[in-house]
This record gives sequence, C-alpha cells and structure tokens, in this order.
Amino acid sequence: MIYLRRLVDKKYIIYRVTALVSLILMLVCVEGVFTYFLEPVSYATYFNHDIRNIEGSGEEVEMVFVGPSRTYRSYIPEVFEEEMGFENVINGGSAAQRMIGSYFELKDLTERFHPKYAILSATSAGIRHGVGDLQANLIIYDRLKYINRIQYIFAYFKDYPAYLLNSYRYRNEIGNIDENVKDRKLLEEEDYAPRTYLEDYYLDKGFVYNSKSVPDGNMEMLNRGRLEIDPVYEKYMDKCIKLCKDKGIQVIILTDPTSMMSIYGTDGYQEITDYIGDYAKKNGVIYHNVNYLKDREEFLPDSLMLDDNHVNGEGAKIISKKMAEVLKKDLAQENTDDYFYENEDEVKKQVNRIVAVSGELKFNDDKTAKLKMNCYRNDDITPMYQAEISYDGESYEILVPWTADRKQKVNLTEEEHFYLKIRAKGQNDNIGEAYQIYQY
Amino acid sequence: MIFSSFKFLFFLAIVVLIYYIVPKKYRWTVLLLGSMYFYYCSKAVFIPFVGGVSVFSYLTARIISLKYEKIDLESFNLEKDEAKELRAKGSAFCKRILILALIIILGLLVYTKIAKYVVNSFAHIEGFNVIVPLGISYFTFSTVGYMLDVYWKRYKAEKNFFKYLLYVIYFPHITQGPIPRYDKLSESLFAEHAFSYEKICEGCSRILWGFFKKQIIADVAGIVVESVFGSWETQNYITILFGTFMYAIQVYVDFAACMDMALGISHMFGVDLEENFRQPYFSRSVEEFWRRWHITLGKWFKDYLCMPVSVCKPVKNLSKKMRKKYGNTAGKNTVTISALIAVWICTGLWHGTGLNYVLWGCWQGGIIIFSTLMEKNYSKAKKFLRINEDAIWWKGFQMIRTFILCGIIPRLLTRAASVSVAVILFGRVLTLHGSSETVVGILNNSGVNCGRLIAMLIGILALFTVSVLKEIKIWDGLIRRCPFIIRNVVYVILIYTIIMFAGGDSDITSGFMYANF
Repeated sequence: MIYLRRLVDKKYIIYRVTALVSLILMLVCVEGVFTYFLEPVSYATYFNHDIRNIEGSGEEVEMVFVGPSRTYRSYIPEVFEEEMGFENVINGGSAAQRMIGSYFELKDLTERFHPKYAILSATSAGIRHGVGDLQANLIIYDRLKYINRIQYIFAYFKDYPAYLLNSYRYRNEIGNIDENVKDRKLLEEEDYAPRTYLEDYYLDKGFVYNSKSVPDGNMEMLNRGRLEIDPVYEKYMDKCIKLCKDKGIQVIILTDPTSMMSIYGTDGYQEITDYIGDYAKKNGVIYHNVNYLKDREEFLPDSLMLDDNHVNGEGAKIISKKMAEVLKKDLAQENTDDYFYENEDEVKKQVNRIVAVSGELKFNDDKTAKLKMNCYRNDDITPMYQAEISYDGESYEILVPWTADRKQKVNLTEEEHFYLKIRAKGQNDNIGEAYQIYQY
Repeated sequence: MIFSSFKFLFFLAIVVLIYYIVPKKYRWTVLLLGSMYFYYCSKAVFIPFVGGVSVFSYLTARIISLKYEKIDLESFNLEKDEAKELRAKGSAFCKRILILALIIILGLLVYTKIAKYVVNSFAHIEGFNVIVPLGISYFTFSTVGYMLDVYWKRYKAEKNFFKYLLYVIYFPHITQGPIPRYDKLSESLFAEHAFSYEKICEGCSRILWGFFKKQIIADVAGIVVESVFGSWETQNYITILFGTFMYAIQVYVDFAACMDMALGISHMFGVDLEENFRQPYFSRSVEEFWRRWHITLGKWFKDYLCMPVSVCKPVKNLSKKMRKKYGNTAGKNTVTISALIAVWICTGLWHGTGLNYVLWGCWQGGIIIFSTLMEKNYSKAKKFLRINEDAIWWKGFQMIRTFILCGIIPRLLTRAASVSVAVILFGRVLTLHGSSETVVGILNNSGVNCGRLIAMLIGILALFTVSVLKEIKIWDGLIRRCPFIIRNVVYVILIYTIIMFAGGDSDITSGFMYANF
C-alpha cells in the first residue's frame, strides 16, 4: 500500500527519476572523459574519418574489400578506382579480421553505401580461426554503426562486455594521456594527414602503406601447419554471400598475396584452394588465388614483402594493378584463366631458388651443440649449407663451411649471446643464396 | 558462474525482472528456477548430488515429522504411561532414521573432503580426480541443521519439496553461505514480496560495494600474497609478516565481499539473509572474534554441535567425575572444554582437511579454552594493575592482540604450503631472519601495476573508515540519507575504480576463496 501510495506521489517519482537520470548522466560523462583522454589515434580513426567524408559528400562506393591484414596491405583503392573507372573503392580490411568481422564490416559498408562488387578474402588465418581475437574484433566494432554494433555484440562480445567500455579497454593508456590528446589535436590540425609509425602509414580509404622490405633471400623458414576450414568461417562466408546476393552485389573471393615461403610452409595448400574454388563454383562466385598469378616470381620477389606474410607498399602497387586488370575482365565476363597457374605445383615449378632457410640448435652439456639446417626448395635443387657465428652481430666467422650434410655438431665458446647465420645455396651454384640470422 | 562475473550480473538482472513480473504468489518459483539454472551453469555435473541430498534430507525430515504427528494422534487417547512408552518408541525410531541420514549426508561431505585431500597430497593418480560439489559444505550444513531442528521439534518439516529445495539451493547463499536456519529463512523466502525500488537500490549498492572490495582489494592482495608465499624460500621476517598481513586482509575482504554480494542480491528479492560479518578485526577477544566472523557458521556449530555435545551422556558422566574429584568449577569446565574441543576440531576440518587446518582449529580452540580457564586470573590481574576496561588504549591493545592471535598467526599456518613450511616461516619471524628481499621488491615482483596498488591502498582505507563508522554505529543509512548527488558521486567513483583497476581479461573477475570450503 505504501508503495502504491508512493507510486502516485509525484514528488517521490520526480526525486527517484532525477536521481537515476543524474547517475546515468554522470556515468556517461565520466565514460566520455575517459574516452577522450585514453583512446589513442589508430588506423580506425583515419578509416572512420574517410568513411564519414565519403558519406558526407554523397559519393558512391562501387567496390569494397573485406579481409585481414593481407587485404588492407595488398589492395590500393586508388589504383582500382583509376584502373576500373570507379568513383570510390574502400578497403575494409583490418588486422586479423576473421569472417565474422568481415561479415559485419560488409554489412555495415553495404548499408552505408550501395557497392556493386564485394571482394571477400579467403586467407589462411581467417580460414583456420573462426572468431579471431578480441583486439581484432574491437577494431571492427569501432567501425560499425549502432544497430550493427548491437548485433555484433551478441555475435561475439557476450564474453567480453567490459571491453565495450572505452575506459576499460584503454585503461592501460593512463600513462599516455598527454600523448593521446596531443595526437588527436594534431590529427585535426593536419586534417588527417598520414603519419608514419615504424615505416607504416595509413594512406587512404583503408589501405596501409609500408615501406619496409625483406632483404633478398632473408626469409625465415616457418612451418604454418595444416590448413583446416573452421566451421565459423564457413558459416559467415555463407552469410556474406547471402547478404550480397540479397542486395544484388557481385561477390569475388580472393586468396590474398603472401610470400612464397608461406606457400611452401603450409600443408594442404592446394586442398584449401580447391575447396574454396569448389565453394565459389557452388555459389556462382568468381574465385582467384592471387598467389597463383603467372610470373609472380618475377614481379613479386621477396624484396617486395614486408615480412613473411604481407606485401609491402610497392608490392601492393604491383598486385593492385594486376588484380585491377583481372577484375576488370572478370566483371566484363571475360575469361581470366590465362592470368593464373592452375595449381600449387605449377607455381612451385617456376621457383628456381632456395625459398627460405632455417637452423635449429640443440645444446649439449659440454659446450657443443647439434645444428640442424633446413630449407624450402624444389626437389631438383640439392642444397648446401654454411653456418656463421657472430658475437657482436656485425662480424661473422665461419662455424660450419659449405656442406651438403645438414646435421652438424658444432663447438661453441663460453659467450652467452651470439648470432647464428645460416646460408643455403643450390649445389650447382646457378641460384642465389638464401640466409637467415638467429639470435641466441 | 560466480557473483563477480558479468555473466552473473546479466543473469541476476533477468531473474529480478521476471521475479517482479510474476504474480506474488509464484515468485518463489522464479527463485527456484533461477537457482537451478545458476547451479546448472556453475557445475551441471553436481546436480544429481545436490538433488540427492535434498531429496534424502527432505524425506528424512518428513518421515520424522509424520511419525511425530502419528504419535501425537495415537497417544491422545492413551494412558500417560502408554503414551510415554509410545513416544519413546517413536523417538527411538526417529533417532535411528536421523542417525542413518546424518551418517550418509555427513559421510558424503567427509568423503569428498578427505578424498580430495588424499588425492591432492599423496596419491597423484593419472586421470583420477575427486570432484567436490559446489557449495557442499554449505548445503550439507543447511540440510543437517534442518533435519536436526525437525527431530528436536523446533518446527515441522516442510511439506512442499520444491520449497525445501529452494531453501537448499537458493542461489545467493549456496556457494558461500551464509548458512541459514530453515525457520528463519523460509519466513522471508516464501513471503509475497512487493516490488520495492528502495530494496533494489540498496541491493545494488551493496553488490557494488562487494564487487569493489573483491576486485580492488582482495584480488590485488591475493597477487601480493602469492608473490610472498610462492617464493617463501627467499623471504625474511619483514616480508613474511607483510605477506601474512596482506593474507589476513585478503581472506577477510574476499569473504566479506562475497557476503555483501549475497546479501545484496537476496535483498533485491526482498529476502533478507543473516549477516555473516560484524567488523571481526575490531574484536577484543578471540571469542568475540568468532562471534563476528562467519557468524552463521559459529551459530550452526553452537546450535548443532556445542549444545548436543554439552548434554551428551559421556560428557555428562565425565563432568560428574571431575566435579566429584576437583570441585564444581572443574565439572563445569569439563563440559565447556569438551564442547569447545569438538567445535574447534570440526571448524578446522570444515575449512580444510590438511594437518595445518587441524592445527589451525586447535590453535583457535586452544586460546578460547585457555582464556576460559584463566578468566578469573585475568580479572584479578586487571584489578591489580588497575586497568580501565573502557580506556581507548586498552581497547586498542586488545584489538591488536586479537588481530595477531586470529588474523596473523593462524593465517600463516594455513597459507604456508605445508606445516613444515609454516614452522620454518614462524622460525624466521621469531629469530628476525634477514634476507635481501624487501616489501618494495615483493610488490615489484608481484607484477601488479602501481595504479592497482594505490587503488588497493585507498580501498583498504575506505574499508577501514566504513568499518569504524559501522563500529560506532553511524554508518547504517548514512549513504541513504545523503543527497542523491553525493550518493551518485560515490557510486560513480566505485564503478570507475572497478573498471579502471580490476584485474582479468575476458571478465573482470576471479573466484571467491570461501567457495573452496
């Protein structure tokens, strides 16, 4: 009864409502203040600015790319715009973007604009890991409009609700408050002019340029293991295709460029390519593995890679031009089979070099060690190895002279830290050396 | 699903919403379904276990209750002697049933605890793991207390099994207590509660305070404590004392935080659970400490162990013998000491089955027994020294003494990896053993960043202030009486301190310590 009486008591209601509203307002304000001081400038800041600009200008976007870092580092929107005569192309790739993120990114971009073509990425990381990691998904979350954000929260962030608060997400930035505020002011003053950080900068419409490059022949030999399709990947790939079909958008699936080492170091690479090819065929979609482009050994040497997985800025220019040419023909419904090798074996046949080198030391108790050297190459190349050692990282002395025996016992001095350089070359000497440096 | 997880908060919001939508008469069923879901999410594998114990204790109590009713009915028309004989027969039957039920239910508790201890300590068998049902110590005590109460005719057995099941598995108390008495809890649990905005607000603010204490103080203190006891070999007497002091804070704050949350959650449904803490570190004697620390456990032991032991035949006989031999005081003390020994051995074993917990129980009980025996001598000494009991310095001395006796010494015993390690650490403290380790070094090694340490320090100061205000009885309702702006500022500070300084990644949480008991 007391409560019922209170319910109709105006003063009581006003007091309670004011108290509650003021609490909510306070929380919102404090969250805003924390966001202002803690949120650092990132590529997402530039990307959102670009998207807002295009939206504001009323221009259309004809083509969108979605995918992981290999996407946003490989395809330059400007090149596609010029070559294909489009008004705007957006590269919606982001670090470690998985298909779940690609789906929401695509959904958001297709709601903001009316693209005619959507390029989906089918790359190893996305295929292997279904939902991806938290930080990667937060990048997508930042880019989405509100309704898509809410859907994305239910799809992914159920277990990470705290991260949806900027105060929690950026709480380790407390020491960088000054820098963050300065950065943001500078960004406004310079009208979002690109800023280089570790040879990396955001160029335009989602593309990130990197000027770093792997020195010729210095590619570490890694084993990426077997590729297996994650069910979450398939589920969201289906959703992407359905979304595009519903909106009348033509889909093209691309396996983005990577290093030759990655192809050699991935088990079942052709199986996955075949699988995606079959999947594309089943859905009436075009599919290309960019790594199967003919003559890629010539136009995309390791020196155009920024690491073992991504092309650098110059590599991206070449790839973008090539792919713009291919896509132009695809869209004109011309046959583009001639641009590509048929399978992994054909690609590898063109490789007349040592692709990557590795060295593994197993220490014994008596200051000796077992050195196991290895390299990726085609079977017709018989490799020779040489090991060099350095204690200062500059001057090297030969530890194991050129030998065809890849397993060696080596003597090490008492120095705690040293560098080991493994070189490999073909026995007939017609091909260049590859090397790798390991720090111990 | 633990109280300090977001998943739980989401679950709670849904249950509260449904609870107040459903007609009053059926609201308890929402709590029952919520509790079942809570238990299912926490550890589904234990459902048959808790279900079995509930069914078994329910049936036992019902049989006893029905038997009593039947005897009452039959003895109504009988002669006095015949009625007495019938009652004696009935009682004997009920006693047999009760003993059987107690052996089974307590046997399961003892089995899981001992088996866990044996497997963890001695037999590392590949693939063999003892599963200890969530909240077993709590629901076992609740069910045992209920059966004993019915047997002692304190109240009649509950007819509705589902109501009884709710009493056993009511989610705010199942994991860490408090341990309720059926007659007290059921009044509130099955009452038809109207929606109360105040209760929701009060419950929320208490949950928030508990969340703050857990995340900002207990969890950080736990990391610091681990860095001391994890590398005990290198510690000196200062760092050992520091680690033990932090552990005393961690244990208290962790448990008190959980209680705040449990009571706050329950308050939101209009169900008031019994308080389990009353500023225990302000106690002036060990006995008082145990009246303020884990109050419901102390009451349980008093009601269901201390009393029966005091009046059982062997103790009575022993007391008689002692009285004859050494006089009245000795006879009286025999009863008290027998009951205390039983209570403290059981309290020790309830907390853990290791030797250190047995010694812990002996230490606590030993002090209480010693002070009981020496009570008269104390009074004389105090008179002789002309100590004013109300003097602040004397009160302060007593509090510090009690804190050392209950908060420091026994904590070192239970936190050390084993009894032998505890002996070494005690030795180091007593011999003022030195090493290069420093408190600052410990804090650095703990990996806790400076911000979290400062937040913890401020949190401890805030907790201390609140405790003092509670102790001098000006805290209750203080926040409620403040203008809402001030109140909201306090809430915002608490919320943002948690957001900024709580640990964890996917969920800002870690488990509660007392859930392991």
